Amino acid sequence: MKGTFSRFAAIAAIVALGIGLLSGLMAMPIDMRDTADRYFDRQHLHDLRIVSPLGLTDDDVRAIAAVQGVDEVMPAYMADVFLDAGERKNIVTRIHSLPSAQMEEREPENYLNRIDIIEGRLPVRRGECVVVKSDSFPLDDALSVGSTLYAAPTNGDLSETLADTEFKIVGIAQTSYYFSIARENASIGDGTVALKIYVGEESFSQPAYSEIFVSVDGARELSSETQGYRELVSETAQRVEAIAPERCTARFLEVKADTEQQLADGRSELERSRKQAEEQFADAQAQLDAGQKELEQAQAELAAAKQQIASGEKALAEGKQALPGTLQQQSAQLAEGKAALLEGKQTLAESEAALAAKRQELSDAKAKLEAAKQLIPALEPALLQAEQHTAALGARLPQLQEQAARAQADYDAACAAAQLPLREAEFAAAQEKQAAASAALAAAQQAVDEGMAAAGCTTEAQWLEQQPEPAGAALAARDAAQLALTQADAEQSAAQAALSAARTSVAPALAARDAAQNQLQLAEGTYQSAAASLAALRKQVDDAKEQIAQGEPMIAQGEAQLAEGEKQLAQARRQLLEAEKAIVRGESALTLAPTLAQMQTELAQAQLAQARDQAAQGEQQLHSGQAEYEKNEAEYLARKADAEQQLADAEQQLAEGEKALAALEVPEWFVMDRSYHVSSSAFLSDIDKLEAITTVFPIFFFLVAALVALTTMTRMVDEERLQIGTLKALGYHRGQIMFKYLFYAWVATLAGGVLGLGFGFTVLPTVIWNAYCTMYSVPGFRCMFHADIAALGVGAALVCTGLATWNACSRTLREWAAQLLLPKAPAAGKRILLERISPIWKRMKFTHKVTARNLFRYKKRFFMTVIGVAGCTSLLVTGFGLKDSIGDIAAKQFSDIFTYDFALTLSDSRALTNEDFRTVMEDPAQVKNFLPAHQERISLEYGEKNYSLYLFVPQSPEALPDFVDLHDRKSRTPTPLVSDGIVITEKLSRDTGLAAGDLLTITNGRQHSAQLPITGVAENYVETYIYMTPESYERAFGDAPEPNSVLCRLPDDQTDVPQSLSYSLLNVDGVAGLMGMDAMRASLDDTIASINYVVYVIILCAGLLAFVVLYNLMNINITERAKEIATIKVLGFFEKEVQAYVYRESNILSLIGMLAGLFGGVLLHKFIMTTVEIDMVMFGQQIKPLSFVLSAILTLLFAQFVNLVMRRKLHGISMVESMKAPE
Amino acid sequence: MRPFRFKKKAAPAAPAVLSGVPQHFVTFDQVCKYYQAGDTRIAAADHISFYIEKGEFCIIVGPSGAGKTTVLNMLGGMDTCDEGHILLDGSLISSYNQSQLTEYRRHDVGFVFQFYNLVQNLTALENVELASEICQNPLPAEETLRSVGLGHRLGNFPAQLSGGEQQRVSIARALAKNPKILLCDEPTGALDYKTGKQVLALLQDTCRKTGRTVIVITHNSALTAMADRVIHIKSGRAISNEVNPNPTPVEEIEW
Repeated sequence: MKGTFSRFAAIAAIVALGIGLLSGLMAMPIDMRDTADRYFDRQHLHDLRIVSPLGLTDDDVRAIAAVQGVDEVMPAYMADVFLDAGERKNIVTRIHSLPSAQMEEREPENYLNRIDIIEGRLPVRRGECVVVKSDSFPLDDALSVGSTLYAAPTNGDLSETLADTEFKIVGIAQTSYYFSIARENASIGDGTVALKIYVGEESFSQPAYSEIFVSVDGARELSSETQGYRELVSETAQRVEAIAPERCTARFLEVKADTEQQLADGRSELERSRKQAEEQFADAQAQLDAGQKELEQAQAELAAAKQQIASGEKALAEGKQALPGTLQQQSAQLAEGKAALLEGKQTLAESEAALAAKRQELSDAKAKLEAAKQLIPALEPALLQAEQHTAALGARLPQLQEQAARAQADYDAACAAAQLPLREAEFAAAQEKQAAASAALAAAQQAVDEGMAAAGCTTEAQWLEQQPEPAGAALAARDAAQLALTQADAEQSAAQAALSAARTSVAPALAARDAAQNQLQLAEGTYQSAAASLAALRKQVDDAKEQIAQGEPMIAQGEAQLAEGEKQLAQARRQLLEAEKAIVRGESALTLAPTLAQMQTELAQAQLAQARDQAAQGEQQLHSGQAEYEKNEAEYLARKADAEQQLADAEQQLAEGEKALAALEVPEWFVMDRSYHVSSSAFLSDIDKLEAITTVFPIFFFLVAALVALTTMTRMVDEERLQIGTLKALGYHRGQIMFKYLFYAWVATLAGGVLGLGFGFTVLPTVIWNAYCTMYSVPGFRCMFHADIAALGVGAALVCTGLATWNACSRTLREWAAQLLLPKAPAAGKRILLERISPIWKRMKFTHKVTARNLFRYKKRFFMTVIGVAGCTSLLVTGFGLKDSIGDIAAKQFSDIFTYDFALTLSDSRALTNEDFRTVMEDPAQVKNFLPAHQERISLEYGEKNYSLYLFVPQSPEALPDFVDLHDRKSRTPTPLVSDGIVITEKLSRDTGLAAGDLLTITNGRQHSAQLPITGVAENYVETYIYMTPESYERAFGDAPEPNSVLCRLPDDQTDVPQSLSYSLLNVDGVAGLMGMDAMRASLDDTIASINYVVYVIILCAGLLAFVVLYNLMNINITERAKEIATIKVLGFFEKEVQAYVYRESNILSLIGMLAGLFGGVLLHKFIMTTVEIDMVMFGQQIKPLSFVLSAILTLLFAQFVNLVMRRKLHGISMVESMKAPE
Repeated sequence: MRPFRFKKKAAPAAPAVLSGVPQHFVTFDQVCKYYQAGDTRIAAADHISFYIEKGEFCIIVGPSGAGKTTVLNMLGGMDTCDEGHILLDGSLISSYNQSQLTEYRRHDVGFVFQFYNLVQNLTALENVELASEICQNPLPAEETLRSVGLGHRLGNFPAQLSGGEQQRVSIARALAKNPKILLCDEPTGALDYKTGKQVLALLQDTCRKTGRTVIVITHNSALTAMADRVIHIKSGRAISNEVNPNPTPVEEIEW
């Protein structure tokens, strides 16, 4: 197998392509459905949704929950309102409720249609919401977490619907309830829900639930598009429907009672309002009267003002006259004042001097007092110290006295002991005696001295001689005294000795006593002096204190006096200043007085003028007041009329309410399964379509794979002829040899198969899924391996290649070994049919002739290439054609056929006569023209089938062509609506085989049947319609058709319905909805956008197919004819000529294949279109010429691409090749 | 439909005549051709020099691997030389580029292959016309075929012809281009003795009658007797370049 890579690759590639497509296209819908189903299960998407015109109650919920097969039941509210978000106003928003009370629990029950929060959180409070992420309505800044939505004023009164009117966005959610961009119909605005939000159910104030979601027991386990699921759900739905009538009757009675109550309330309310209005009007009348009175008063005031002005004028004139006299008087007064001032100034100076002296005095006294005050703190510590000291000294004194007493006592004792007093007395006696003796002696002596002096004698002896007797006696007496003295002396000495001895014995005691006494005396002295100094100090302090006590009041008094003086002085000064100022003022006044007086006069005049003006103004005001009064009066009358009108309206409303009550019907439950769920039904039906489109393609690829395998294996067997011969000669069985080739082919097939499965199970579904993601947001796509598909694909491929290989081998293997060992005789050139047409053949170049002969010589290659290329082209044609046919229908239906711009749905045909309605509709600037019509959805039974279609009855058939262009598709001739027949649309005609001239039996909504002739078949793509005139309707069914829709055209320069128009129309009673054709077109366009992805996938596959086939062909051709190519190179062919020589063959084959493919593409396209077509829509059958051209060009481009790749290989063929021996 | 034609390329550059080299019809002057075989460089032509005069029947002979085919490739404009000069009728072929070489092959060289190399899907006449269609002054194809004795097999496909006949178609195809030289690579290699002789006789005849230079490359030295000029090649060199004054007619040669 070495060196045969390109051959191996060719088989593997085509098998990979075939299996890849087969497995991918088969797996894709399974994967997609599975993904969606898992998503539904995870989010608990409801199985049934129940709505009722009158709403649903808790009793209904209980009743439904009790139905067998019902698992979970979730009642919910829903409302369509206009919300404002930042700059964006009036966003048509659908608000859903969340069972917020339960959601906090981990696994809440009865919580269906769960939402996934992708940003932020769930609403937990009132006034919070989450918005649903949507591809069709991108969330901008004003709709991001944190911003707030407000109920728009356009809504009017929402109190019956919502409890909150502001919602803060707290999260962004994704939900399986809204995962498609398919449009939901709204009952407000332009009829399309733009934004969806979820709020807690407390935010609703509706009296009854809007809907009830139900999950069916066991349905989750089933895949949602299986028969089992559908049966299970439909059984449960029937059981729910079975309890409906009873519940509906109950609800009906309830509502009826409510309404009656409301009407009664309304009536009493009306009465009250009427009374109130009357009262109010009485009040207003009173106010008017008061106004009248006020006006009169104002008039009186004005008159008074005028009088005032007159008196003002008079005063002014008087003032002017009196002016000069006044001036003189003023001058005299001024001179007097000046003299008084001078005097005053003198008095002031005197007083000032006195005050200064007094102030000096006071300051001295203050200084003294200050000194005394300073002394006291200086002395007081000393005083304290002295007191302490004195006290300490005083304390010591008694001790010392005691000591002294004790010493005295001791001394006294000692004295007694020594008989001292006695001794002393004795001594004193002795002393006295002595003294007496001494005195006697002295007297004696003196007598002697005197006698001698008297005797005139100097000596005694002389004196004795002279006067012997007196002398003798005096002498003798003196001698005797002498003697006595001497004795006394002795006595005294003895006594002294005794005293001394006694004294000596007493001496220590005496000393001690003396010491103690001494001490005491000393202490007493100190104490005395301390006490004396303390007393002095105390006196000093006391003196100072006294001084202070005396000085302070004095100073205070002085100060008070001073202050008083100063005050008086200041006052005097001020008076003086004032007087001065007065004088200055007087002077300046005197100078200015004339001017001032002039000015005053002028001012007064001006004021007067102003007053006059005011008076004039007042007059004017009075006039306007009068006018206003008149206006008020008029308004009052108008209001009154208005109120009366309102009351009348209310009355009428009540009357209408009563009528409505009378018309109230027993409601009906609508039990809807998932096929009514917009998102999932759109999704599943899109998958169905896709599935139908894609099942056809793999067939091609398998056919081509077989052909590729056949040519490739044939070539291989041819190349290995010699080897086969050798093997055969060696005795190998045919089977064994064949097995080798089968093995080769199968290994290639398996390799390709693995590759293809890998591609098919992953890339393809993912690509298509991503394409679908533009329309649906279903998270969690998972590619799965599908063993059954894999086995089917690979098995089919093995069979194909096996058969091809067997075919290639069997002929060669039948030959004998000997023959095989010889080179295969070159196949003889054959003449071909073309040669017989000599004019052409003769003109052909030889290189062309070679090509021509080659083409017909290798039939397998011819077919392989032609089929392959044809397949490629067909695919392209189909792909582009799909785009043309499906892509066109929106434009065709909503521009060419439905030429109106928007349609209104009426809930009440009386809207047509409503005045507001007519004002808007008949304004040519807003609506060009309009056509009321009756539309009803009917079920038409024909043959085995049931067709759901619209019966369309325009009010005036002659106006219909302006709105709906009924014409035959092919001839484009109009198929007008005539009064005795019906026009059906093309799809119905095609499905039933009915044509113009046939009769058709129609049953209308009220079960009246009629047989009507068909007069025309009209082109139509979306839905099926039967058009008939009102006359035929009435004739056929008995009743006149009641208009329930209005087709409208905008003025020619407009295509979008202006918001103002849509709001004013939707505000009209009885207008239920508005559907813009633009929106319809856009909605279809979105679906069609996904077709583009399919087309790209198809183009890719087509390109691969062409490449594989052409590459294989070229590869075989070039290797097989290497020698021939080398030869023509040697012959001098240029590179380009060589290429042309070789490529011409593949080019011609491509061309043939392409032409075949263009034809085949038409068939394939037609086949697919009819397969894919769904009941509602007829796809276009046309392929645009451009698509053919594109397909052809693309095919040729693919071929040229292969040529480009092959050029290298061609260039690489050496001329030396030509020298080689043939194989 | 008119087939697409390429514009005729301008004739090769004016002959660059080597000064001092004598003017011959074909001149190989010190021509070398090397092939790279792994690490070693093999000289297939190693300074080979010879010349051939106009109108000669020349046989280049040598054993296998001597470089005969290399010489043939270079002379036939299928390969270029690495060194030296190759001249033909005054034109310096060795200086030609790929496109000029193609032009040269187209107009100046007639090639006769060992295995005829006829296009299987064309008749004998168409095979000749295939070649004549692309050159400037072709000889009438049918006449040329008649001149090689195949006037009765014009409409036959190669598979319906014998080897000798096929080779004659091949010769007619080469001649119809009215080339300056006729290069024959072992023209008898695939033929039996008798047919080989006939083919050789045809070539010799052509040479004699039309005065065309015919160069036959063979390993069979027995053929040398019929040539006007015999060039012996060995190991990439021309070891002799002899003129045979008396060529033997083919009929008299035995091998």
